[in-house]
Amino acid sequence: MPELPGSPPPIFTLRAPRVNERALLDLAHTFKLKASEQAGSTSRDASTFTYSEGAFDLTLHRASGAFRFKDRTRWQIDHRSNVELSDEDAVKLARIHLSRYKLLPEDSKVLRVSRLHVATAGPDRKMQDHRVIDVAVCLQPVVRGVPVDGPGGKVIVYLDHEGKMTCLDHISRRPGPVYRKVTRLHSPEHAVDAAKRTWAARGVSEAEVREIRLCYYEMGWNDEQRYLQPAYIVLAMLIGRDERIKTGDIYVTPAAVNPVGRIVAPAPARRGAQKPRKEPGGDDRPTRPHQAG
Amino acid sequence: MTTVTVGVEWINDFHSDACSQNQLIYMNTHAEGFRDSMVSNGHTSVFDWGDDNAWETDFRNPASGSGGDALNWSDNVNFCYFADHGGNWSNIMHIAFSKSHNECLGSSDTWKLGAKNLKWLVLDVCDGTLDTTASAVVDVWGGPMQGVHIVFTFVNTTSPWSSSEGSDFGSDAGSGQALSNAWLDRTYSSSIANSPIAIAAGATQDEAINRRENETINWRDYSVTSTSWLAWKWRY
Repeated sequence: MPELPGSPPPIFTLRAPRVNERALLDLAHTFKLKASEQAGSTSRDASTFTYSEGAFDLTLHRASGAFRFKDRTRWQIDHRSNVELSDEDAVKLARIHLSRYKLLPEDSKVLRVSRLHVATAGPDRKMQDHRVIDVAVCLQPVVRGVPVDGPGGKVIVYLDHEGKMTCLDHISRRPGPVYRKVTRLHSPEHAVDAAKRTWAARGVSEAEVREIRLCYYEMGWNDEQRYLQPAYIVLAMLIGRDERIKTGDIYVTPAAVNPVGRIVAPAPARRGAQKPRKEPGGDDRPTRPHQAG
Repeated sequence: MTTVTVGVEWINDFHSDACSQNQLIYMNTHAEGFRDSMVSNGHTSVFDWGDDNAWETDFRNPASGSGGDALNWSDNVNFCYFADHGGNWSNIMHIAFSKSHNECLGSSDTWKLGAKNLKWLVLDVCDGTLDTTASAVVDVWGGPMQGVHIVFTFVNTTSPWSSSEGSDFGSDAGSGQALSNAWLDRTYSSSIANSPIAIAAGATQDEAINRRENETINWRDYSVTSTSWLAWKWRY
């Protein structure tokens, strides 16, 4: 069970992100790019602006203000090297890179250090050429002693074998003023009970709760979010009647007894049920275009 | 850009019968989101079968009997996205169906992926591999991959954290980005420490590596002549 803070953490208003082409170029300056229409180019789609200069792409998301700065010639690319950095060294380097760009959160903790691996095997079925292409350090900001979690709430630095940054993901909204004091937090057990009710409604016969986190919940790259509020995340393994079939599950619920608005992004509307499919030879088969190779 | 044909299958709702499994969420949005993103990039949707309309026979090769109809469905498109429950035992991948047509579980020992048109298969399910050792990857996938270029799936269990994983991947794949890197980028989450994996085939080690690192949908007609080598890439 997570340790609860001495006093309930408040609900914050989130500032509307400054997202336009001027903001994109300002951000590009932060990364030491020339950031001009002469030196690079800007492209747009429904959810992002991207400024490209040389090997670098800087993509700014309209809804969240989150951004990714990547070297497309090096990020995730196998240049036949092998990263041997320890977790500790990688975290130190990540913090140095973030400080250099003035992007290190005021308070943060390491959520995870992951690695991008490659391997092959041939007719002898033995693993060959197993290497690590990058190490990714994921920091989660901490607000009033509570870590930020969710699809957002992350600053991730990807490092190559020389400790150089190949990509930076910044999906961390800036809290504004306190919107509402939280009078009391639900207990973690309350969250687990709510999760169990949801699973029961889904016909889940057995669930193993693996972890319960208290966090400030932040949504993803393309979600608008107005408030940052405390939440419980319940991570579980759902086991089917055939015990060989399992799946992970994540249940998110407000931790405050007086939450505001929606805590997770709404699920997309489900399309109407499909008409029952007919047996082969029936007339429901779509007309297939000519198949290439 | 090369255009490709797309088919998707997904299951959220199971029944209290012989095929019973825990209900799922988001599988429709993953699969149909992928399809919609591909279509918005100019590719062609051929089928979308959900819940009881998704059938085991759509993946079974006719040579395996029992009404195997893969050549008209999963293997009649270039890119197939399947979102559901999965399980992996006895070096055989299994996928669960809500209706027995003709089995509740599809088994990879009845598949010949790529025998006709299939180039890329997403198995958005748990247990695509149990780990990342050569035996876990090759013993399960060396047999079923018979012409398919890359299989995209997960090591061990995963959790549907976001409804947009399929559409995000489809957006990258459909616009010509390197497929393996797009899969790993769009489906990995530091919060839940899941482990997406891409497994590429080739007649030689260099070919398998080249596909793993560089293949895009523009490689549709660059056929895998034999699956002598597998090259895989995963984040964990």
